Amino acid sequence: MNITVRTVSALKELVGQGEWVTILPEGSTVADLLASVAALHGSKVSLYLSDPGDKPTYPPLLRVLVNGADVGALQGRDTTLKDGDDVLMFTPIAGG
Amino acid sequence: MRSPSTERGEMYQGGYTGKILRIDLTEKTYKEEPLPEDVAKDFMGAAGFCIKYIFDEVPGDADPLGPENKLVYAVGPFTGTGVPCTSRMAIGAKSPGTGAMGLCMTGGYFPLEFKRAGYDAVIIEGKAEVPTYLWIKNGKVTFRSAEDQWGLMTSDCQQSIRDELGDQNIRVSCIGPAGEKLSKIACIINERRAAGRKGLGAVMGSKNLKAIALRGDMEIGVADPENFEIFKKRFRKRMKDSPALYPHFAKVGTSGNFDNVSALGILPAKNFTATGQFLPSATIGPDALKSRGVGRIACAECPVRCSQMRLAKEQPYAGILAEGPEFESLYAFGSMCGVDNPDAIIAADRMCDEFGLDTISAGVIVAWVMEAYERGILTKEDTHGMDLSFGQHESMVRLVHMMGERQGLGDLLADGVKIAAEKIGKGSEKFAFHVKGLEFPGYDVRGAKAYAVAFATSYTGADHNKGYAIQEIFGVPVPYAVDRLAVVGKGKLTKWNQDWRTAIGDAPAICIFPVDMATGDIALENTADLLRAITGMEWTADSVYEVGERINNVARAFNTLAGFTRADDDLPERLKTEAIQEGPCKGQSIPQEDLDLMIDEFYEARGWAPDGIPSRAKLEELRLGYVADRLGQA
Repeated sequence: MNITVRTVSALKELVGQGEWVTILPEGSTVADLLASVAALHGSKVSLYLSDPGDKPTYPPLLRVLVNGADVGALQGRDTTLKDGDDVLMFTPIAGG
Repeated sequence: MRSPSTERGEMYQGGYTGKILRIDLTEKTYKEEPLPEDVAKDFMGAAGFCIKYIFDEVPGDADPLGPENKLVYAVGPFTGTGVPCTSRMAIGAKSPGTGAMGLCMTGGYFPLEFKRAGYDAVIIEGKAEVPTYLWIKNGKVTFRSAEDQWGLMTSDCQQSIRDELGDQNIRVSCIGPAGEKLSKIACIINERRAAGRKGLGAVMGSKNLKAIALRGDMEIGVADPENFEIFKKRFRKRMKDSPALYPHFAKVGTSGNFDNVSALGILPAKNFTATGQFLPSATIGPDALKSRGVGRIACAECPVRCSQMRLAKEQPYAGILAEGPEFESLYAFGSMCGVDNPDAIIAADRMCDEFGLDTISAGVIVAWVMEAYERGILTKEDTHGMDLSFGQHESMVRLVHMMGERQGLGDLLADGVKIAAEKIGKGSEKFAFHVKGLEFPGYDVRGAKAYAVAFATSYTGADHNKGYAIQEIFGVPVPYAVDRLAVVGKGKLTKWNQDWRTAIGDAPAICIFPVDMATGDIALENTADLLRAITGMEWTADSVYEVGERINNVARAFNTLAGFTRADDDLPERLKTEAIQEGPCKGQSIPQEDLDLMIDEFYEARGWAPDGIPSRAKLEELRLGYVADRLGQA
């Protein structure tokens, strides 16, 4: 299935691009997507994308939205993706 | 060097100077009063002191530009102790822009000098007979003629005072021509920092007060130095360990938020007609602005250094230097006006700083003009021949100049979008973006429902610094994660956001950025620990939170006395009747029934009646029985 992946700011700088389409097997989750991106881009990126487990950082290293909805309000990294989904991921930063 | 032990009353072991300065501009007199201990315990400092004294001493029906209004400057118990990022202060008055409680926070160097000059707060009353500035040095106040400064831009004014008094280390808080001309969107500037919103600059102008200049050398001690060092070290470590603060925020400032808000689909554009459609990050976002960066500036005692100095490159703006533009200015003069020229935004930002105008209000007003022009409600005859279509950046910059001078069309606009739309009419009120007369910040809250409730209900009007919905905008799960598009639960969350932010930012007077990006999950405990160590007073996370709740209730009570009702807790019509057309929030709006549901939930969470008036029970719970008496509560 085709998933559009978008990123901005610090993570975009590390990944080197702001938007791309990736192909994942049916039934893939957000965790699967993050693992595939981390595998492509090395340790600097994987640091941001890795699962903090039961030791979350403050603030979170990563925010992920699927079709505009925070995964925290869905099934977290276990959220299942479907063909045509739009996934936005970035490091939260404060603003005015 | 003065020692606090010789200057401060016995009751304060640290943090506070224990003194309030009361200045009567009419009589040209001043006196020192002790800071009452119950005020310190119940209101903490800064925003708490401002709101408490404005409620107590300014009638609800006072003319904001009349002599009954008072201007209160106040710092917090952290200021001057060496806790990082605490050169912060609050300035309060009845707002000329809204008629409600007006409260701004500012940073820079002035707050630290203010504390060293020896005061926790300064209350300014009356009206000077002639343009005046106050010179305050180590307990002595001099009323000086401002005839040489009146009419000057803010940076020239500050320099003029330093030259006149012969000390380049003097810190100055002043107004520009906009405040002198009583513009209801005029701000107060120190260095290049702004107490930006609610027209507090006009309050100073109405008192013929051009500036306050300070020098001081008081040392601010702490009650428990050993624990103070432990907690201060913890704070610094958290700042260092934050994945966002130094690695990213320090390099781009709040402009970094421009990309995030765009990506979330909530960057307002073209007066909220093109959210999700006009996305100029490539030309005016943080990456694009790097080519204009010429350095970074810090506030006093701040290791982050997040203020970006930027120099415009292309004509007709080449050579204009600004501290910024920050996120809100990139929105107000950028996406909101359909402008994607970074140099025009730098120019407009600098112009606002010099005239002493609020950038957010100015940009939103221009965007309203642009929509009115495109709809034919305003024509070239009204706009002095200027093409004021969206995107016309030269016209935008010229219009800001005219607002600063109160010249031509600028005179109509200088009092805010609410008044301008009321005067022009022809349906333009429907797209005037404000709440309670305060122009709307850079978030299309159709895509962030708790933030919508915050803007609708904040005591100051649509104010991004009150009740910031960190869960929705930053995605932090404090106190819990939320779905930003959900409606249920957002009223209750907004109460928490408002009280928390007041308690851990506005009252102790600490910059909210290291809190948001480093200590947000332990902010109440961190604040309580530092307060105990600094002041020697009893503080817990709960009592810290309660201060935030207390302050918001007093402010609400003031607004009730000023005539505000539930009807004023509202949103611009477009957000309720039109949906976002494109992007991740396509289809989102806030119909009236959803807004009513969220506000009902908010009032219930607050312990207020369905009409939005704080109940006696809630006020007495917060030790505010006298506030209930003044409201006439049974």
